[in-house]
Amino acid sequence: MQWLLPVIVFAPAIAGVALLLFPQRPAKLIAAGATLAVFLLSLWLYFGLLNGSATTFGDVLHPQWAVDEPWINIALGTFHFRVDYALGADGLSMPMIVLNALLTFLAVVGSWHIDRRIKFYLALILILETGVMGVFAAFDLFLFILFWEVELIPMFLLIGIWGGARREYAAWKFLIYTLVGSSFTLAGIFLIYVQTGGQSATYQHYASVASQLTGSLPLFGGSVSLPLVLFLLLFAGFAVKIPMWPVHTWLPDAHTEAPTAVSVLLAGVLLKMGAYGLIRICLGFVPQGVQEIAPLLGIVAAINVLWGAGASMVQHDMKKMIAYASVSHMGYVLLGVAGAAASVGGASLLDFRQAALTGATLQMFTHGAITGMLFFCVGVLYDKAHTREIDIFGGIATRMPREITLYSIACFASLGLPALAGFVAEYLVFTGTYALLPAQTVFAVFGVVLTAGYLLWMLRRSFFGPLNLKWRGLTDATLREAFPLAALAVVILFVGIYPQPLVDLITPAMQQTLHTVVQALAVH
Amino acid sequence: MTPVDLVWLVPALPLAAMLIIFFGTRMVEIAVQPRPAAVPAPTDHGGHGGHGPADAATTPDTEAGHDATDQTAHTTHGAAAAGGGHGEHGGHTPFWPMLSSIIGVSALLLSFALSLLILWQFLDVNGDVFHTKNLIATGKDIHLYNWFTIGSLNYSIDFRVDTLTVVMLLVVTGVSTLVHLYSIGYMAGDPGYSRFYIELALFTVAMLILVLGANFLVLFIGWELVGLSSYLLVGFWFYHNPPPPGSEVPYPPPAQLKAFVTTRLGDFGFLIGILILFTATGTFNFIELNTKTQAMDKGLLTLAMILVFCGAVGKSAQFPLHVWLPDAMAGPTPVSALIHAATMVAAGVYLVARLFPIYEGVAGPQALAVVGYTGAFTALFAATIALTQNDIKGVLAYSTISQLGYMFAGLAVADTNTVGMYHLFTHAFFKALLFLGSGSVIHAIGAQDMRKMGGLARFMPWTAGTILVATLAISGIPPFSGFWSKDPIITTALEKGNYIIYGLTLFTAFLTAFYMFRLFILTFGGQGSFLGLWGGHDQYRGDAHPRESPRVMTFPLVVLALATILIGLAGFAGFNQGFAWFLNHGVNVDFPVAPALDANTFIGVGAGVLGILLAIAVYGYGLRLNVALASSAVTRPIYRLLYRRYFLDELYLWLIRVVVLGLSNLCALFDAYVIDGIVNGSARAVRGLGNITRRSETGILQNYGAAIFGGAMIILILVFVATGAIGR
Repeated sequence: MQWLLPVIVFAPAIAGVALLLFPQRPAKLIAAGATLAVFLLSLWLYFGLLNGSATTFGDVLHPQWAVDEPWINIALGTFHFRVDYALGADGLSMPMIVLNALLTFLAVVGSWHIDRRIKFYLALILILETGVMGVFAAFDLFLFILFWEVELIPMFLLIGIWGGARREYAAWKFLIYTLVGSSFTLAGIFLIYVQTGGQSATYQHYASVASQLTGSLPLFGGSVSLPLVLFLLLFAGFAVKIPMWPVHTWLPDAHTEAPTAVSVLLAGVLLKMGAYGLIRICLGFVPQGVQEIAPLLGIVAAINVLWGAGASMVQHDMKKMIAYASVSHMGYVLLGVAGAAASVGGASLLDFRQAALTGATLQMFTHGAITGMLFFCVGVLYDKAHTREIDIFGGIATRMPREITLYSIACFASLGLPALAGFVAEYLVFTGTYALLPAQTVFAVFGVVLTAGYLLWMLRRSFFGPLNLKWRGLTDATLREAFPLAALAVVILFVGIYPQPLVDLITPAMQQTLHTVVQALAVH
Repeated sequence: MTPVDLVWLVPALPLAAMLIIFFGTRMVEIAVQPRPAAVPAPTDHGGHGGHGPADAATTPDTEAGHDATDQTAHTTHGAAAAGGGHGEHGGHTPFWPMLSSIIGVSALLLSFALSLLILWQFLDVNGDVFHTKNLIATGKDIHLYNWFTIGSLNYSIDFRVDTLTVVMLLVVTGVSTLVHLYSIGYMAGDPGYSRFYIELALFTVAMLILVLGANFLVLFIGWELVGLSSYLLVGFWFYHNPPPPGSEVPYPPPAQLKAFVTTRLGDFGFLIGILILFTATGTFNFIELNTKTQAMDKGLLTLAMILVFCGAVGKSAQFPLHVWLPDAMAGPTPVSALIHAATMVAAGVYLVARLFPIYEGVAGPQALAVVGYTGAFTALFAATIALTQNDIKGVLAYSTISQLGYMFAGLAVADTNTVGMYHLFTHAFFKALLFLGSGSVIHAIGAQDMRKMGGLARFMPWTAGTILVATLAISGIPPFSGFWSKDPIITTALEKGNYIIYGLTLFTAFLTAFYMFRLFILTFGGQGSFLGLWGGHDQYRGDAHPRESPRVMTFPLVVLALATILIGLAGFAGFNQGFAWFLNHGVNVDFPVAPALDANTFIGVGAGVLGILLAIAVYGYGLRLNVALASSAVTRPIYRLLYRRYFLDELYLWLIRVVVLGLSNLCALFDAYVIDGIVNGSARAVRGLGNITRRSETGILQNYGAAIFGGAMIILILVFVATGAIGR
């Protein structure tokens, strides 16, 4: 079954290039068919792995159905530059792979009505899918950063060409922010490669030496801990992507200008690349570095939650509001990771660490599904009304019963209502991190009040009250438009009511990571 | 397979009903109804003044009016829809919606029947019928499924049925069945008829999950879901036009928002409390918590229990988070009866009763003191506001807040949770009766301002008679049920030497009797022989043509009135003692639940009688005390303070505007000017530098490559040089 993962990673890009050769209508069908097929394959992979040998599957040291071939190997004296073509999937990346496949398929369906250069647009979406898949599936740090940079190009073009009025500013802002951040990450990758022997850049290698990675570097006469330097360098790129306060300001602009489907992918999976990097690379390979800064990271996480929520409260544009809501909700991921890495309590709080980290990973998935759904909801409205200004509507719920039902589900999922997915993840993060970083958690929990405030206030202003006669001609979402919404609603409900299958998959990977973290604590 | 093993069916039946209506009858209803035109034509909804979405189109709305964000911009709307007054005499319900309600009522009836069977099984102490001995002492744990297990931490969906749960099951399914039935009449012809039954069923499911939960996880799930259904039902008529300025009638869209967010504020404390307990004990399970909290730090535990009580303060509308409940009256009146009077708002009381072993036995005394003083203060506080309100549902809303305060006071002063729970039990019936009765009035005359009522008893004898029963009960007059539950709270406070709570609750009893009879006389009577209740001149001050509501509405009133009377009469036979025995798992408790016929009881009843007499004197015989108080220069500010509800709404609104939105704006502005200022500034600087160093044209891709690798190399070299790593 080793062919499955490479197919999932590369098939979208191949299909994306191929569809350019066809006329418009078959091209659209090819895009939809390819993304659907990739989604089904990812489900196959998911359930195949889930039903596989439960004892060994799921962590970075024991990836199943993985590929590892030497690719580049240059020797410069004693220095070897070696890159492996290594792909694998474990409990951390698998939910992201499924989510990426699902959201890309829904994004293609949701872009059906686009007229302008649709083929080029779809090709870029498919290449984007390959880039993101590669980030999640790569099991070699150099391969990882390669995919990381590859994903930038289609995203830059998608925002810059199909975006709104200020698309060029937004696209450049996105690009420069990310490039500056990822330069640090690349530097960090070189540094960790050198510091761990310079023989291999595979994840297995780093994971097995992670707890021994200690020591300090002299810095202008003083000295600084090596793991901390590595963490800060590696994390810089991830922090931009997550996005972490205060390097988050590219996100509202990018979201506001991006077309609907691109916003969905941006919020749904691209932000998760940052969180994934934080957990996989920072926490997994330089745990001491995260530990040294964990309380501070927790504070920044709380700021993320409250700052994002506050900024959401005063937005006038629905998309910008949801973009800031993403900033707020990604704070919970940061909080979970900070909690898992915090040095208080040592191994005695292992269960709470695991709850926090599992919660953070689950939040990556649930936030992707929920925010994707929110952006689709706004997209449906925008396609009909050509505006997203919250206050310009009024009472349109009577005109759009289907839309308001699904929009409400998305909003309530986002504000953490039980029986919907967001609650599971947030509850796990809170119950886990409170034992480790209580003060930071208390502040972050207050986010749930603010979230309810801005989302329901938005619904109240746009959808409830007497109908604003300007919108009396507004029609409800069509079945084609409602399909992505309904599909995500099903996912959100399922995870909210029965999260066990997802958690079972995530748990082994987190156990391995935490094993490293606790080992590192002991070394410390 | 005994009834208690099937307890999951109690919530599952309404859930099934909800799904059948949502995906079944409602879909058919939408499919068979004629497709509405893009512009809805003004149609007649069977006399429903302003309920159809079409009505918005008939009002002289202007597009310019919507440019303003403030709701006051809408006040030019026709007054017909203002106030949520529910048209006269209802309308005709078509077949498919009617089927929805029949499904809903049937499911609830089955749930109620099953709950009764479970009660029977619990009472079958010797196992003669069900072969389950002594269930009353042990209760029954039912594991449904696992969310997940992480190490030693269990997140599992468990139900637990014990006597406290059985009481709540009966109250919830009983009142809910009656409200489902009543709504067939009340909601007749409403365009959202099926939606109403979906949301009502959703509420019932959520409330049942709440009371069945064996741990904080399940309880919290139910807790939040009842909040959702409350939100949906308060905003049921979300398309109504706002009421005219100065109206006391709340407006659905802001009311639903306020209800959800205010209770969430309480839930914030609740969640922190849960987190403290979970971190210290590693469990959510109530039974395990009872023992495991004993090892906790006393101060921390007390703090945790006070934080948990914050959740109850929000949900049960206690001061200072009570402000949402009066506004929640914007929902249809059956909703007010079921959710905002009888069941959901009592969830906070249930929560404290559920955790009573920890509050009373393990945590420090400060925890229960906070509960007691909050409750007693709220009881008085809300009663003073109720004195001055003119909206019939507004008075009842404040009376609910006040009575919930009694329940908390009762929990705090007694050694068992019986006293508070018994008041919850009796209150559920007579308060549901009061609300359903007021709904009957509103249904009849399409108004809810008591100044436009009066003398309705002659038109609506069943409504008036049943409401009188409930009014006497809430005033604590024997033999009605309220006497047996309220008097023990007051006398226990005295016996325990808690004179502050005693004084507060006793004075509130006087106020309660006064404002409830004020309500009764203003609505049904007036000045004249027999208080204008019958004979004499017509006292009606409105301009509708009142008549008695249909039997489907009066029948629930009669059932609830009978319950109020029978529970009261059963008190003479020691029913309340039996209730205490049941709630204490089949053990007789020392605490005398039955009020003794001594001086203390006479003082309590005397306060109620005094209130009634004063109300009769003022509103039946024209003693112009109220007018004097409202116009005298000395007391007018006090009157205004009460009438405007201590200006708390204004204070909170100001806090939100200035503090919350102020800080939010600061965040947004900081992003836009400080962070982006730096970003854009450095981008400009780089571009300026680029212009100097630019040598030749490059494409985007080359720029990428240069930026990525050049940047990384520069950083790397800087790091290496700075740290001397290369030299090692």
